[in-house]
Amino acid sequence: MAAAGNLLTFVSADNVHIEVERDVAERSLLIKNMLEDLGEATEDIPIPNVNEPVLRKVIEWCRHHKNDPPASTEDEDSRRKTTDIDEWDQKFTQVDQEMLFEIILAANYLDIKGLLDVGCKTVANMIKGKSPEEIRKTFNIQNDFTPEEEDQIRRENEWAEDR
Amino acid sequence: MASNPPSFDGIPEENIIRVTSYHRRDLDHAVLLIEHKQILGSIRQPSRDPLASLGPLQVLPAELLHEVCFLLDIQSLFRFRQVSRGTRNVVSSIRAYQKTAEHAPHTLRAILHTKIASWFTIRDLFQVLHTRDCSCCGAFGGFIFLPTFLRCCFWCVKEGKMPAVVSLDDVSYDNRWKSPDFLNSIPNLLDSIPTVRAKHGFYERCQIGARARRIVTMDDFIRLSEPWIGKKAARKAPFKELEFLPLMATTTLPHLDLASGKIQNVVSCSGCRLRLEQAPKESTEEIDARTLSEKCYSHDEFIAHFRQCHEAQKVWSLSRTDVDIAAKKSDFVRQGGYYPPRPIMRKTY
Repeated sequence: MAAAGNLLTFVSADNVHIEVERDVAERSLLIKNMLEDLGEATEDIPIPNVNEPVLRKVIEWCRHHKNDPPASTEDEDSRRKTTDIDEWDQKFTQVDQEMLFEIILAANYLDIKGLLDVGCKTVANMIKGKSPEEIRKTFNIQNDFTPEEEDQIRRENEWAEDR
Repeated sequence: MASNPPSFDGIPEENIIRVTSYHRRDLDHAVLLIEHKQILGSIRQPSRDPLASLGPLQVLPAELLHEVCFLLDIQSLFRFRQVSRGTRNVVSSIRAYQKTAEHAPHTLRAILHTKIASWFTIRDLFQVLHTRDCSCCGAFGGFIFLPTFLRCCFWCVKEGKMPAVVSLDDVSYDNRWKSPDFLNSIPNLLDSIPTVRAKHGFYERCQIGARARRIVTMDDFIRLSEPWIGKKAARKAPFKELEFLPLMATTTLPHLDLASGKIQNVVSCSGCRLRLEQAPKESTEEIDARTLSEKCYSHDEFIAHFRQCHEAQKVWSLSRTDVDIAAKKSDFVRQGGYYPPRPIMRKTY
């Protein structure tokens, strides 16, 4: 199916055709560069590695953010603000972990910096301020330290916090 | 480089630095310095092979895991490293972490200890580690000013040229602020601005015994308190003036040169120090010599100075018969600065 006018067609890894407006699709630098090289896209654009549900989420994000100014150099006051996320994005990232990581991988592959940032910030916020045990629970990571290694960690904590 | 006295060309610079300069250890003892009980090798080392996966995080390639780590404050990063062998390896493979843990463990410890760690990332710290010059005067700086994570030299801290800081534990109550609840009228004060929890201890070469304090910058305080108590009141908040506060909020940080991979501390000139000690008291020469002898140099700067400094060159020539000549002639050089004969505490603040 050929794309008409300003509409492109993405084909997901599981072979589902999804129509996307060109300006939305161009939030992806990979797609943008490809379109520039091709001139006119007349054929379906395969997006390998990205399944339909993930691709739809990614497109949803790109559509909402299609009018964002180009990535600003966020240099002002970096202290602790690094992980502030705007409200819409916070709702957007309320998905299960598997989906969240799939979105991050897709954003990385498609080169969508804004979305990649939001993804990484969300993961960072799941870690921040938590104890190692709480982090293990959050990500279902097993504690594979030996008793000697546990002892070493206790010493590290004393080293860092003891008076 | 080759234009000045040709006789020093071809001599390894390290030798010149070793023989004719010294490190002012006394300045390190003037600021917040948390000495090692032991060198903790484990903070630098990666773990043995992981037995467990990183859970769903496992799907992310190393570069993306590093991106996440760069967003973590140092405190959280330190905790993340204690989750499993896998996360330990992730953190240990970050260059910024590696270099900091390897070259500046004291600094890392002071940062964790004062809890300022929850305000800055490992990338912030690495940035300061490989910045060479004092953010204030541009001279080589061997210290970091913790409330703002800025590279600084000792003298700019000592002379109060860094951003002004106040202690939340030293508020005097005048007529306008009768209530001791002054600070309580500002919600979440401690959680909302970078706070250095400086430990109790001796500062200024054991001259000042200070109790533990919570130190914030005046700018941060004003920014946060303005909406609650108004601009005027915030600016005129009745903090006690304590000269030594900036020293309590500063710690040592060597400089890492990214190009050469070399680490260096500030050095001072032994020759200039000898000249000062030999100058007639209260002469103009003494004043001149004092200024020069208090200068702190990077290694490159010192080599440039050495080529101009006859006193240092004299020390170098004498060193052919005795390498420790400068240390033998001057207690100051040998000890690495001035230490009072016996730590006399003038006062506990």
